[in-house]
Amino acid sequence: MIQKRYKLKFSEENLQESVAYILVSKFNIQPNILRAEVRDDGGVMVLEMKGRQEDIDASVVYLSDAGISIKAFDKQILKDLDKCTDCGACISVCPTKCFTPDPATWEIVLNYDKCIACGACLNACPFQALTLPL
Amino acid sequence: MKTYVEINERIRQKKAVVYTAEEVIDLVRSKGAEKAAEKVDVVTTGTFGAMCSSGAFLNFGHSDPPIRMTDVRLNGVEAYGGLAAVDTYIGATATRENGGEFGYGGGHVIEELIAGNRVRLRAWGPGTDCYVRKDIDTYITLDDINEAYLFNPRNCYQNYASATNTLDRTLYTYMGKLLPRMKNVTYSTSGQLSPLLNDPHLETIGGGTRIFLGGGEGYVAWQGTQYNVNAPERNGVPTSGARTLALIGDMKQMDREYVRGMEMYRYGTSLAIGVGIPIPILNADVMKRAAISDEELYTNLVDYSVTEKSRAILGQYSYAELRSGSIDHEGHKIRTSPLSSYRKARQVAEKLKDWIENGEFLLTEPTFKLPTSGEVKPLEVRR
Repeated sequence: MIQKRYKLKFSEENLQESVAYILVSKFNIQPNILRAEVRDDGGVMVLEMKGRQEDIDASVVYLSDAGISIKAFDKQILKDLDKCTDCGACISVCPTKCFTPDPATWEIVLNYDKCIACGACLNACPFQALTLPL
Repeated sequence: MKTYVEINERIRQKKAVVYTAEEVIDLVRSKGAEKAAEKVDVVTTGTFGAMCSSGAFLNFGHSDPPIRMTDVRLNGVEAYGGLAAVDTYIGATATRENGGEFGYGGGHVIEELIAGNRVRLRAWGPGTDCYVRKDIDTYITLDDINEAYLFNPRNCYQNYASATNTLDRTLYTYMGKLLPRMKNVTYSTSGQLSPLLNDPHLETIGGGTRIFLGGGEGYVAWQGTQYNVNAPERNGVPTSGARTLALIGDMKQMDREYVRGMEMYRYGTSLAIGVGIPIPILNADVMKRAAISDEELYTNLVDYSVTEKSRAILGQYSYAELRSGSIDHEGHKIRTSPLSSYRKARQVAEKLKDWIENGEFLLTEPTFKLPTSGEVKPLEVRR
């Protein structure tokens, strides 16, 4: 079993597709919708898929064929290293504890595997070093 | 016992023994303060955090024809127009109107000037017989203008309460984002590296002390505003807001690495500055105090949802516990966030250590002692 994150974009034509149901019933995938929103330019979903590699690959092909734009999304939060001062304001506001200080250097390390793209850290950063491009 | 003269002589000969306030902890633990004081000449401290009461005096030089600027904007941020014709002061918390999604303020203007960026100057004046021009719109850089120096009325707060929030909604404060129902705690200090925690009664730091300010040389100009010597102490160090420093330093020597504009969401803009103060190890007592560790330094925890000035103290925690990532409050684990960069505080203390070891930075004996009395008075609302 592996786990992968994708960013899906929906248009008006496929906005009401039940992605989670299809993934479970057709591909035996355990989907976890981390984030979903409908915006003026369509829908955006951040989706985590857990399953066998070949099932995940087949799901990606299926969704793509259904007209849904799907892209790997493994660096959800972008951290501008020039702006970040390693203050640590982000540490305690993150619900999944993504940010941890390196005990030797006190650099604040972002663990992308834990990040659920919730965006709670964005307005906690006093140096505007964090962005979540959706 | 050592004197400033002896220490400076050793610095000139590049023989001075310099430790950071963090490195010296283990030395004093293993050798004792007496022996360590014989070995060590200087301990360097460092901090890098938000210091709202900061700003810059600038002199633009005269245009042809000249203008007496009474209304001044730098990148759209208001600067003071009540000095002589082309002098101004821009404060860290002045914020641009229509600043976009994120706030942009005086702290950012100061950072941009130090970075060498072009900054737009727009100014207006009444137009007088001697200053005929009524408006000007141009660009300046730090190199172009005459003088530029930070003059910060209050920096290096000796200690500062940690913050939490008991309400059921998130608060956005100058102590950062405080999650509902005490889900997090924020604190702001470099603790065992912090200048005024390592010389708690200002035995060596005083008026005229040469310091590291924003990457260049600066000086302690005066006691800071809200200077208070009556705070309760633990292990000989105040556990709440106490002494403060007014600092001055030439912006043209500074480095953006140590001077950054900030925006605390829904609070406003500020300036993060790196400050480092050298402590001459004159005797074992100074040595002992400079070797204090995060385990021995405490601060109060206060509830920022209480808007009255007198906030109840919910507890007292050591900086070692706060820095561990969580505190234990009445049986509950609460996660913590520092707001002051320990990495950069260390970088400041190391840089100052380098300067002293290389004989480039001599210590100054204070030309005057900072007050040994003084308390913070409230503002009464009178009708």
